[in-house]
Amino acid sequence: MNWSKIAFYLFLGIVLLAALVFYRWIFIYLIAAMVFSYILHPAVSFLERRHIPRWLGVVMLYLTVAGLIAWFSSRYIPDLIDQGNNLFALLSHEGGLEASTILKIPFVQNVYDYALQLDAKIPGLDAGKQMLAAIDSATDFLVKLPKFLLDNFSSIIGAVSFVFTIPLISFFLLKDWHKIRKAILGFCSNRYFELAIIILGKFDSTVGTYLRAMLFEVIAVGTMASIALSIVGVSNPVLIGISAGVANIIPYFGPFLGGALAVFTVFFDGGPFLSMVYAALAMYIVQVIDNNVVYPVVVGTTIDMHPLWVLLTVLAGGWYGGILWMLISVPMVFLVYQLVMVLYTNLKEFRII
Amino acid sequence: MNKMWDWARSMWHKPSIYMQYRRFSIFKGLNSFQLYLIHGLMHKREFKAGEVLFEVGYPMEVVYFVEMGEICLNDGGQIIGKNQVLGLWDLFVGAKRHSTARAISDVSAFAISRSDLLELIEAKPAMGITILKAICTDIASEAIRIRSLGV
Repeated sequence: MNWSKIAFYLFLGIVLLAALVFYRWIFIYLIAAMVFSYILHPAVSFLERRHIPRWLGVVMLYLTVAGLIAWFSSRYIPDLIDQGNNLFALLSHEGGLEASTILKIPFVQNVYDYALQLDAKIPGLDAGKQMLAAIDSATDFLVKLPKFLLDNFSSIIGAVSFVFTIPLISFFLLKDWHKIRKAILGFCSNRYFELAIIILGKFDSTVGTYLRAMLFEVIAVGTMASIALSIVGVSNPVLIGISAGVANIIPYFGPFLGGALAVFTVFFDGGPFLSMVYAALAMYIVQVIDNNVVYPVVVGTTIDMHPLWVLLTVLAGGWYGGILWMLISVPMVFLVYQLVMVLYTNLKEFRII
Repeated sequence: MNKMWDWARSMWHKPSIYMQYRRFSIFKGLNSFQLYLIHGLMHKREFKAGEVLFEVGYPMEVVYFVEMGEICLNDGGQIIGKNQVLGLWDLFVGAKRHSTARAISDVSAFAISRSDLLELIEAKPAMGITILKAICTDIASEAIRIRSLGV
């Protein structure tokens, strides 16, 4: 037995373990920077092939993105803050979200009046009383909702440094893209080199394509929903549109969340029943365009997961890490599944397993 | 005197580090910028004598450009030596290796992924045409050589 070899590998293992412990806090930064890099990589490569050095290409793209964000902020952020405040006021306890407030909404008032008429005609039905109880339990849930959202917002605000660090890490990942790949593959022994190239290539194409497609789809659905909701006269259209776009990441259930948000906004605004139908119809048309035009062209293939599996994954994501994990859990599980399948197939073909 | 001249010339016009790839026939016609793009995708690999590079039936993904040493195909078949390319024809034939390659001596080679190369060619068609011309020239030379042998 070669003791010196064992001692060296033991030492290497300890060093790696120490490095993992030391760098554990930056893993999340690194993953976020990788996501950002995968989205921008094709544009940087495109510029590189047109004689623009990678560092300059990254700087040019950063300036473009910063310009777009600045334009969007100056144009929409004040409106979005107003719209957010309106929604919070509507849902917060201080705004008086009690059964009596809800009953002032014309549509609810009509339904309540009808229930009282039924009570008068059918003794012992108590439809009005039951409706008040249902409204009370619903308002209890809604009163807790802003606190939940605010808790998440405070953590988002606390992560400002995170947001500013990501582009910096991404800059180096994008600039030295080829060097990093070479370094990673340089660690592989000759036996696993070709396999590693295939897996890395598959990872690049699957993850990169998926992330870029998702980003484009979020923007497309967000824009279409904002326009559609503005046309039908729903209040806070940009905020609801953006929320619908982000929720759209979750297959099957995401589109319903966007639609429900639009319909409930009209409901709490006291809009007539017909406006709710228009809002639902507008969101349905957006989904039809998305499913038949945007998704097939941009993403190409749908996430081939059973709805039950999607539901369980979303629930597990929610329990594990809240709203953010609910959004990313389905794409993440799908991508991991795809990569494991590629790894398994290639390990078989290279006769390693 | 010649050495002095070479030194003076190298000070004026530094030889590109990417020029090493011009020794391979398929990259001969490429300009410095195209070679720079190729360099971004190349990986340096070292093989010990007797080491297997790949076996029949393995998935075909990597093309090797032999910088130094010799490789034997199918144990006693064709020998691939310095400045020759291994796996280039497989690039156009299929997704599996058609032979087993073993290093006869210590080998130093550049490796490039088929997907990366094809993606680059797709993005730079002019470069693809240059490479295609070089491959056709190689095939024609090989055909003439085989014909001269009377096979």
